[in-house]
Amino acid sequence: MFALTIVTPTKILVNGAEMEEVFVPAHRGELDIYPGHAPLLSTLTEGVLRYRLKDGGKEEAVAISWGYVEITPGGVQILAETAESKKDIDLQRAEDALSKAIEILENPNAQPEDVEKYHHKRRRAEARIAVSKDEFQ
Amino acid sequence: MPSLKDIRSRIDSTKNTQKITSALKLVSAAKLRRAQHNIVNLRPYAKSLLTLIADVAETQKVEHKLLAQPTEDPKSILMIVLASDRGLCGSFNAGICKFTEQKLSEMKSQYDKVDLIFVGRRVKDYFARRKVDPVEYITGLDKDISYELAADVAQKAIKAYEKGHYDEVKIVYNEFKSAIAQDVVCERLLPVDTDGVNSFDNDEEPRFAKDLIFEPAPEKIIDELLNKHFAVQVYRCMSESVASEHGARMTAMENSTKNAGELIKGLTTTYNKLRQASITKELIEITTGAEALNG
Repeated sequence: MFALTIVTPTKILVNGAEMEEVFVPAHRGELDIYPGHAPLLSTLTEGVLRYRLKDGGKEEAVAISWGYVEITPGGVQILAETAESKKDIDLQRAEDALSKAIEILENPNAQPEDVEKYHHKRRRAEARIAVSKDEFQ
Repeated sequence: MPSLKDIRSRIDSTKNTQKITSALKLVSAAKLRRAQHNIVNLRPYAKSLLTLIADVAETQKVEHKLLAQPTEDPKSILMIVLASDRGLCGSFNAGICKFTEQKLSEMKSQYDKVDLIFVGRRVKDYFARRKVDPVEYITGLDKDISYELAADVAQKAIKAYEKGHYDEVKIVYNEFKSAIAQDVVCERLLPVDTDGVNSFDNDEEPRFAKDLIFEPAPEKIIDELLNKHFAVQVYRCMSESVASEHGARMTAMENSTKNAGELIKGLTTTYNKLRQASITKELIEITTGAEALNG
C-alpha cells in the first residue's frame, strides 16, 4: 500500500491513488518518497510537487505554496494551500512576478519584511515557471 | 381617479421592475451555486488541518499561545463582522447589524476593550451613523472571495493577537444553512479550541507512530498549522457569508418578482374596469344623444 492523497482548499486533487514515487519540496529540502519510507510529518514550502502513478504511470507535477506532508505506513497525505498544474498557470504572469521579485531582492535598500515576502514570491514564481515549462527534472 | 394612461404607465414600469428582479434572481442563483461549491470543497481541507493540530498538540504535549487554555478571563476582544457591499438582499445586512449592536452592548460590561473589523460597506455605514468606528474596513468581498484576501485579514488579526493586544478573536457572520435559511452566528476563532476533534479516542491507538519524525520540531509545525488554520477559518466564514448573501438575495428577488406579478394583476383589473366604465359611459352618452334627437 502506497496511496497518495492531496487535498487543497478548492478540491481533492488526488484521492488515495496508488503511487510509485512521490517527490515533495519539504521544509528541509526536497524529499523523494518511495514505499516503505519512515513515518514523518513535515511542512512543505514553495516548490514543485511530483508524483508518479503505479505501474509505469505518467509523472504529474504541480506547483505548491504551503502545505504539509504526513507519511504513514499506509501512504502519503499531503495538504497543499495551492496546487496548480500546467494548465492552471499563467506563464507570463509568473515571469513578471519573478522579475519583479528579483528586482526588489537585489535592491540593497529593501525592507527586511519585503525581502522575506519577495523571497517567497520568487520561489513561488520559479515553481510555477518550472511546472509550466516542464523543467523540473 | 387616475386616468387610463396613468394606470397603463404604472403597469409598464412595474413590468420593467419585475424583469430586473427576476434577472437579479437568476444571477444570484448562479453565484450561489458557485459559493456553495466553494464551501463544500473547503471542508475536507479545513477538517484535516484541525484534526492534525489536535493530534499533534495532544500527543506531543505542545502548548501554544493560539491554543485554548483552560483558565482564562478575556478582557479584550477583536470582532470581525461580515456583511455585504450591496443591498437588495432582504434582512441579510440588517440582521448582522442588529445582532452586532446587541452583542456590543452586552460586551461592554465584560470586556475592557472591544475592537471591530468590518467587511462590507453596509455594516460600516450602519455603524458610522451610530458613531462606531472599525479599526479596519474591507470591501469588495462579493466580487470574488479569494483565499488571499482572507489570509491577509487573518494575518493582521493574528499579529495583533500574538502581540497581546487581544485575548480573543470572534467573528460574526451569516451561517449558510440553505438557500432560504441563514443564521447570524458569533464564533470564537482565537484561541483555537481543539476539544473533541482529534482523530483518536482514549482507548484507541494514536494516529502517530512512536518514532514519527517531525520536520521541523512539533512546536514549529503547530505554529504554522495554527496560523493556516485561522486563515482557513476566516476564509470559510467569508465563503459562508457570501453564499448566504446570494441565498438571501435570491429569496428577496423571488418575493419581489411575485409581488410585482400580483401588483400587475391588480392594476390590470383596475385598468380593465376603468376602460369598461368609460366605454359604458360613452355608449350611454351616444344613446341618450340619439334618443334626444329622435324625441
